[in-house]
This record gives sequence, structure tokens and C-alpha cells, in this order.
Amino acid sequence: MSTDGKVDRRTLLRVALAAPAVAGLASCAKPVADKANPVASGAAKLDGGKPLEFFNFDGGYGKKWTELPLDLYRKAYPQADVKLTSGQQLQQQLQPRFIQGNPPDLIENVGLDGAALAGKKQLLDIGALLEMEAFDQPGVKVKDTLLPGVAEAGRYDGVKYEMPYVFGVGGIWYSQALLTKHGWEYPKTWPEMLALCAEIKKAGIAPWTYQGKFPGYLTNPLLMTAYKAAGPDLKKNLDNLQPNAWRDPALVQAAEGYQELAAKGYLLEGTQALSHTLSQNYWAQGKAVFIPCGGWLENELGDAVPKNFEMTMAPVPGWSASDKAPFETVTGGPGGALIVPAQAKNPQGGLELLRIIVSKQCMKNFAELTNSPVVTKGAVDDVKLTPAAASMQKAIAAAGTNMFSDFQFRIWYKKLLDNSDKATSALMNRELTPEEWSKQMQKYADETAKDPSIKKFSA
Amino acid sequence: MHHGKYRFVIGLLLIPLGLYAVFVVSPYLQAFPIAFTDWEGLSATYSYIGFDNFVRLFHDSVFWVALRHNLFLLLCLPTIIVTMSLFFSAILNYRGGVRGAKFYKVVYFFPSVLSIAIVGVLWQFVFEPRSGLLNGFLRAVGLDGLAKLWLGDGDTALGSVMAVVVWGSVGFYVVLFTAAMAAIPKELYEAALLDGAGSVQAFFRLTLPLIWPTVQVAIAFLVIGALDQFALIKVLSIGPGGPDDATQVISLYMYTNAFTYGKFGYASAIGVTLFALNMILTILTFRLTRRERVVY
Repeated sequence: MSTDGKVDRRTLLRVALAAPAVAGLASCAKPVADKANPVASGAAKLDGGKPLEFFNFDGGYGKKWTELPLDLYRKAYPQADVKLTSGQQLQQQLQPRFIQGNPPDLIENVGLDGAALAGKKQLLDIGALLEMEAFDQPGVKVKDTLLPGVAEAGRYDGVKYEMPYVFGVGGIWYSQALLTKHGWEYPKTWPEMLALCAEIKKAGIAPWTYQGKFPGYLTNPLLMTAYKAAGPDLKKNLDNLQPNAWRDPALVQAAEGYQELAAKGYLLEGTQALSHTLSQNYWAQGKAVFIPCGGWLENELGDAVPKNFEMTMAPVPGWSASDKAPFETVTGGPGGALIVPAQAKNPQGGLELLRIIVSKQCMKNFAELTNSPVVTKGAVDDVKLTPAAASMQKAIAAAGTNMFSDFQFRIWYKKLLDNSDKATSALMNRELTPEEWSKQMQKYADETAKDPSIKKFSA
Repeated sequence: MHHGKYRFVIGLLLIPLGLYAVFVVSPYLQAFPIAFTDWEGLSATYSYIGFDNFVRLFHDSVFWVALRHNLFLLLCLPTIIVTMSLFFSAILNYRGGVRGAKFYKVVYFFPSVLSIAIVGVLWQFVFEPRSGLLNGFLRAVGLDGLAKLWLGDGDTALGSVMAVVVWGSVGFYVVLFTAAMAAIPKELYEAALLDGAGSVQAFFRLTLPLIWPTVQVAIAFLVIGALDQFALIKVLSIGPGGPDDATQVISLYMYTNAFTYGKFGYASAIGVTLFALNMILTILTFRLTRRERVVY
């Protein structure tokens, strides 16, 4: 990202008069060919001699886990030239390849807009994979080896485009050891949370912190608290961009509740300007008691977590005893997205590698290497779990069917997601009142609903 | 003989000019037709939609916020940077150069040799509200009340970014202006001294008019720079461009539209608009700062 800026600046100095603005687009000139989109279909035959390229997102889960599935593919198709490419900036690295029409055959997608790709028919319909035989369980279909909800996830307009590989859950994290030491108990409603915060503050610890530079981390809990108070219709209305969905009293109430954190001084000082790494490290040092995050927190912190910390995740508090959705409700479920581009040179090979990746042995290998729950049944049965992973498994079990992946508008409408982050930061900086926040969000949602250039989905 | 020389020159220039045409000029030009399409940047299909992108841009509140910030930077940055640079260079050149002037020039120039990305990352640490240098210093000298969220607060974010730009630019212009001042013949100052001019008078009546062409170029550079500021804001600010668009600028909004929202057509329209603004402002700058050239 920073290199883009540097090029901008140099070009600017050299050309002096020319507009630095347009230089940003230099790397992505207009496509010349107007190729017809290949029909996405899983029915074609696999040619084992064709070369295969897998693009791995070398981020939180690294690339070590890819070795086993790639070796298995090489063993099954010895003539194939199998290549692994890795990177972290998928947008910059892969966008030109999509435009030129030579994307990799399988992509671990973090960064490309999946909804836009699906909308533009750039992805292969991988529904056929679900009906294939599982790689290491003869006679069993792939769909029957997966945990509930995995086959349904990653669909756009009902078509299966994305294959999740991890099974994640998000919530509020704390150190059970710290809570036990002070005799505190994790609260089930937000008013109780605020009462506990007052007590924690008296003890000289900051009750809360969050990843201030990326306010989206806090938007999710705020929405969850409102969801528990108002029930599932709230989510449906928000996701379908219904008029006045954001004006729901439960949302205003939750916004008030979360703004109290800032208003009453319950946030770790400086929180609003902290990056995710800094805030999470301060939290691990015990400077703050609660932090919202997804299941990757333990991996991300690595050695920064002290011994006997008893890292624990719990569902977001609801509002009151008369809530319409249970406290155990969590956002979670299948996560991550493996995609096969429709224009790939060897899409059947990509699909085959995907079949290998979701096999029990490969998923077990993944869980052991990354300490993360996975999508295949029984894969983690004999993997020893850390306290953090165990607390997540417990939350998943307690939630049962009260689980959904996320508020869909956050996945479908990138700009609305960005705008909700902006509004959250303004709310937490007390530049917006909860009432203004709700109006502002409604305005953003209406803008998205009215924008004909944004493809709409519905829940 | 001459014929051969031209062939040689053309031969040398062909490759660099060709590369320049392919990698710089042609993308610039292509942005213009793209601005009239709905291209989303993910496939090879697009259609022309006339002036729709520009109409939407006109009604886009974020664009106006970004434009306002750019105009604010446009007024502040050249004024502050040129004034400070002139002040420092005048002091360094006082009576033919103060002791250690060379040393100070090198120190002033330090920020200019750092890549903008590094500057951004360094200042992130300075502004960090809990253990950052700035708040740490304020607390150490007992000014706890002045410790702020800096980049995290909408009221101070843009000012904080501006301070970094000033810190990073002043040194370059100090060196530029001192060089220009050193070229002024000593006799002129001696004559002014005999006529009874003080040092302040000598600066405004003599030094400034004589180095005016250099100042003019500096202002033009800074005006163009104020319209950009993409790199620093991308690295330094929250969001980036935040909190809540408090540091949003046109170039960053263009980038976000292209690479985050997948709206290359719209982003190109922003780019074309920015290009037009740049042209107008650069021409204006040269017109407004034009003075009689003094020959000595």
C-alpha cells in the first residue's frame, strides 16, 4: 500500500504539472477484450495432466497447512505441475489476473469482494463438490462429512460459490483467571455489564478496550446486543435494507449502552486511536478486562498471552430478561472462503484440490497447525484444545441453532460496512448521539438501497 | 554528420520515451474514457453510462468533505511551510551565514530522505495515545490536560496529519531557499546597509524579491502536494481517512472507490475531476504569484 504512495509522489515530482490522481490507476488500464463469461459448471471432466495453481492467503493461518493437500494432489496426479503462490494483498495481486482472464485455479480468498465476483459471474458454481465422494471416506458424499451449515454457507442467490474451511465464533474475550481473582462474573445483560464496569473501574483496571482503528470490531457486539433485545426480524430488516430498519428502538438503546463505555470512562485510555495489535496486547497485559474479537485472537496474540491467563470467550450480553433472542446466540459458523474462478485454466483441478482440502485428514492437519476449529465432522476430536479453543467449542455447543455467520449486509455491501465503521467511531468519540447515529446509519442504508451500481441480495 | 547525430539522439530517447508513453501517459489518458463507464474492475465487461459518474459525484457528500479538506490543506500548507522555511533560511543566512549553518541545514533536511511510508509509521508511534512520544512528553512536563487522542479524535486528526507534512517538508524548502539566498551578491546588502536598511527591511525589500522565482516554484509544488497527500493519510490516519472522514481527501477517496468498493469507473471520474482541479489551481498559482522579474 505504501509503495503505491511512493510511486504517486515520484511521478508527481517528475511530471510536476500532471495530475497525481490518475497515476493511482496506472497499474490497471482498461481491459481491451470483451470476452464472454464461461458458463460455470461442475460437470466437466478433470484432466489430471493439466498444471494447477493454488493461491494461498499467507495471513493468520499461514501457508504450512497447504503442504499436505498439495502433496496429496501431486500423489494422485503425478503428471500435473502443481504450483503454490502466496500473498497478503489479494486485491492488488489478483485483480489484474481476473481482468486478463488467467486467475489461479483455487484461491484462499481474503480481500477480494466475493459478492462482487459472484455478481459478475467470475466464480465457478462449486455445488457439484457437495455431491462428490469424500476424498478419504469412500462411499460418503462430501456434504455428509461437513458440520451443519457449511454446505449452506458461501451462497449468493442460492448458488454455492465459496467453500468455508474454518468454523469460527466471535464474542467478548476475557481472562477467567482475572475475573476469578476479583470475584467478578461475566454479565448476561448490558445494564449488568455497565454495573460491573463501574466496579472494575474502582479496582483500578480499565473495564473495556477495542480495536479503535478498526471500529468494526465493536459494531458487531453492538448489533448483537440489539439483536438479542429485538429478535431475528431486526437482522432480516437490516440485511434487506428495509426502510427505517436502523431506526429500531433496540438499536438506539444498544447504541446508548455502548456509548456509555466512552461517556463513563470505562474504555482503556486512548482506545479510540489504538490499532488492533496494540489494543489486543494491552488487553493481554491485563490493562483492560474485556475486548471483542473473533476466534483468531489467540493465534494472533501468540506469545503475548501470559501463562495461566485462562483466555475465555463468551457471547455478547443481551439487554434484559425479556429479550427476544437467547443470550447464547453468537455470530459464528463456517468461515473463510475458498473459491474457484470461472475463468481458471484448470477449474476441475481447483475443485479436486478443494475436495482434498476439506478431507478429514487435511482438516485435522489444519486444526493442529492453526489451533482453529474446522468445517469437517470429527476432525478435531483427538486434537488437544487450548482454554480459548475449548471456550469457543463450548459457546458453539451452547448456541445450537442460535448461530448465524454475521449480519449479511456487512458481507454483501462493502461500502455500507465501511460507513457503519465510520458511524461507530463517531458514536464512540461522542460526535454523534445514539439518535443521530441511528439516523446516519439509516441514511447510509438508504443510499446503498438506491444505488443502482450495487448488486442487491436478500435474506 | 548532423543527420547521424539526430539518429543517435533519437535512438537514445526512444526506449525511455516509449516506456514513459506506455506506463505513464497511456494510463493517464485511459482514465478519461473509463470515467464514463460503469467498470467495476473485476471483469472485462463494462458499458458507457455518459456523465452519470460525474452527476453522482456532484451529489456525493463524502466527495465534498474530501474536497473541503483538500482546500483547507491548500490554504494552510503552502502558507505555513513557505513562511517557516523563509524564516529558517533567513536566520541561517543572517549576516552571510550563522555558525553551524551547514549542520542545521543537514538536520533540517533529514525528514526529506525518509520514505513517506516510514514517516507515516514513525509518527503513528509518536501520536500513540497511551505510550506515544507526544502524550508521554506532555505528561512528563505536567501538561496532562493537553494529552489527546490526536489521530483518534475528529477535532485533532487533520491537524496532526498536517503537522507531519510540515515537519517533513520544511527542511527541503529551507535548503532550496538558502541556496537561492546565497546566490544574491553581497554588494547589494552592503549598499542597503549604507542606505540605512535594517535586517528586517533588507529581507522584505531585497532578499524576498530576489528569490521570488524560487518561492513561486515552491508554492506551486506545495499546491499540487496539498491536493494529493494520499500516501501519508493512507498510512497514518485511522480508517484510513477517519475517524468518520475527518482526514478524508480526494485522492484517498478515489483509491477506496477503486480498490475497496470495486468502482473503477467512478474512481476514474474522481481522478479526472482532481486532474481538472490540479490544472486550474496550478495555472492560477503561477498567475497570482507573477511579479516583475528582477535581474541582477
